[in-house]
Amino acid sequence: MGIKIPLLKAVSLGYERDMITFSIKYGSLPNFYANAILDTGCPFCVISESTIQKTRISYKDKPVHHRQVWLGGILFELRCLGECEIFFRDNENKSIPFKQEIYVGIPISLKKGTILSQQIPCFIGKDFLDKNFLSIIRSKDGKTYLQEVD
Amino acid sequence: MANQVLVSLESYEKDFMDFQKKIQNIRKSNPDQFIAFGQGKILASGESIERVRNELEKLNIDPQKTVIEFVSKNEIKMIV
Repeated sequence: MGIKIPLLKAVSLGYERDMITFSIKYGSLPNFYANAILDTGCPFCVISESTIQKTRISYKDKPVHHRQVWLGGILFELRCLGECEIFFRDNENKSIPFKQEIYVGIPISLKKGTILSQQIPCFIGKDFLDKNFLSIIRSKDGKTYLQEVD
Repeated sequence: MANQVLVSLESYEKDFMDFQKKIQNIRKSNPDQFIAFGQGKILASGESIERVRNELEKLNIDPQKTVIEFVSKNEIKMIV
């Protein structure tokens, strides 16, 4: 059977979303943990600035991948952390690793420290779903999965 | 290594869902603050993430494994 990862129903930015928790390994540094919106409309996997600030990873000197990206009326730049290893928990309670290019989304149109800039979530985007042939599947029992489908 | 990640992932997920249940109360008690949440309660809070990270480190809690979210006084709604 293929990959099957349960998703969470959780509220982010005021509405219920398909969300997921995961672990990120950047280089030789210890793993850090995050939650993200599963967003098929987002082209990239983006870690929010407030999430990366939980760590001591130096991200401001990373190359800018996209200089001006709008998200919900906020202008971001995306800095590339490079390929990281990310881990999810599957329905059999095993950790599943993936290699994934990760970006840090830094709001540039908002004054640093404003309330909105501090609440921008992380996103698991279409690049991850495409690369790993994963789809969001809703079962009739009300549960939602990220699932490998033939 | 994989087992350690799994244990921490389970713990983080539980804390995240517990935080979701309590966010409206936290919005009233700690508006416009970063909240570190675990074991069903607020572990640390403050106006900057650096401050919360430092508080957690003083408590020997790893910020990297902890749910830390900003909770605004008024809920922000956004379509993304």
